[in-house]
Amino acid sequence: MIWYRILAFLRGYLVLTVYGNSLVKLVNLAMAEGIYLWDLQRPGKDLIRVKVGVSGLRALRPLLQRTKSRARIRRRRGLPFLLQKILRRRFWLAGMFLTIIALFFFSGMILFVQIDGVKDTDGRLFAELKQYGVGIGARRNRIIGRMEEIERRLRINHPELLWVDVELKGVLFRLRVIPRKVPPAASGPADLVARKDGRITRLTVVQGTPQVKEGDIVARGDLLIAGYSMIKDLDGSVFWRELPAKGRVEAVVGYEVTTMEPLDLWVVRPLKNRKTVFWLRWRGRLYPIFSWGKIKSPALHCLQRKCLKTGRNPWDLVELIKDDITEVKWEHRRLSVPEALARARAACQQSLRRQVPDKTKPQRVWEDWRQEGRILYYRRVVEVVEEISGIRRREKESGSGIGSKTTEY
Amino acid sequence: MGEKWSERLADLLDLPRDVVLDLPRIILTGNRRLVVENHKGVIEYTSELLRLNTAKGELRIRGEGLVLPAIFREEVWVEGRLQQLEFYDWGD
Repeated sequence: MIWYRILAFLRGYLVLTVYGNSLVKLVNLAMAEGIYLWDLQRPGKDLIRVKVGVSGLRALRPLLQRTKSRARIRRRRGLPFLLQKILRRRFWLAGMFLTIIALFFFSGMILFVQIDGVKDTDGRLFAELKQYGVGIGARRNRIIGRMEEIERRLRINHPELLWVDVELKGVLFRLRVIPRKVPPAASGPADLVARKDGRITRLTVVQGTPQVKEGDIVARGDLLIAGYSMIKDLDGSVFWRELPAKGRVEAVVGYEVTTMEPLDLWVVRPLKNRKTVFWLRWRGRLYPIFSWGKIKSPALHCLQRKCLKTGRNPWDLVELIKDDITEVKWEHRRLSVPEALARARAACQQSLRRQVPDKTKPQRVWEDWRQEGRILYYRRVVEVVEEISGIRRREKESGSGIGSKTTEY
Repeated sequence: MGEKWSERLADLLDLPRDVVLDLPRIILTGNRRLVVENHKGVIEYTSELLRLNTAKGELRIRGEGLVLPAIFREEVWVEGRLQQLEFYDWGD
């Protein structure tokens, strides 16, 4: 019955009210003629409400005359009438068309960027995602292929994050992170030591005994503020008390990055010849379905494979795979020294951005380069002022004199 | 061939009786839907009563708000609140 209804909708049908005294006779005659009537109702004694196809009404007309009945069309329904109605409303049609286009356009965009697991109050992660091209309004298809790369970069650039996962769900780009748990600050006796090499510019001691002064050059691991202090008693005796060292040590720290840039490059240039192949993968084997386009030299091509649909059965997995093959050409390119220098500079700056802590301003920047054959060697050094102290717990030392009461003579 | 012989033949060969004996097939789903196959036309139809002609006699379906969702030469669908099914003048 459902097929009759679908067919009737596609062909168009009418809702009729038929008046007369021989309505049962009309129904029997229509049945005998093979006219399909459906949803027959009898709301009153001399009338029936019935649905009939457009072609059925033509066949029903002589029967109406024979039974002296009158039919009135109440509604016209189905696809042809619907299309007629739609085509008449041009503005509505234009609006619908624009809505569909807008839906299609906006569904290909990222409209929300969400970070779960950490409060990105200073917007560092948002800013970094923006650098990778992820932001509100970014095209989804430009991001889909780079999801793993973004995840990997975030993992490298943020050692404070234990786990990073990126997900693209419709128009939502979601970054889920789990921050690494930092052990609590030392409550017992502890020293402050240098985390990096540098020249001390400012030393502020809150608690403990300073072991360095401004202007000193320290190496990584050097003691900066010792975790004990001398206390003089009223009777003149002196004793050393162990405590957690507190303070702030700022130093000029240098960051050096070197890179080499070849002056001869081989670059890939995509050509116009392209080929698209659709495959069906079943039980680990690929079966071609159809393809279009042509490539001249199969040896020189760039393949981009995309899994369109993955089956749900993990044993006999069926996948629909699309291959976009682009013919490419290797081109020799000779870079001038300024061009190579600009490339090297950009690479070094990017590398430095990862190493230099945020919220620090470079105090001094210098660079040098030399050319050996067709290779340019480049070096860039940046000096910044930053806090270099780090906590190191003190081991209990027996017989060192610290913690024991001594008398000053 | 007599009716009794036809019945015996249907039993012997395990043939469907509605085909051999030209009986209507009636499928009832709860008290909501009734499908009658192999009918011979409508005698009377109101929202409370549907009288159908069959080869064996008259089939009366009583109920409330009876609607015919589909009506074909061989088949009638009846929907509504069915209350009573009556086989009128069917003989033995």
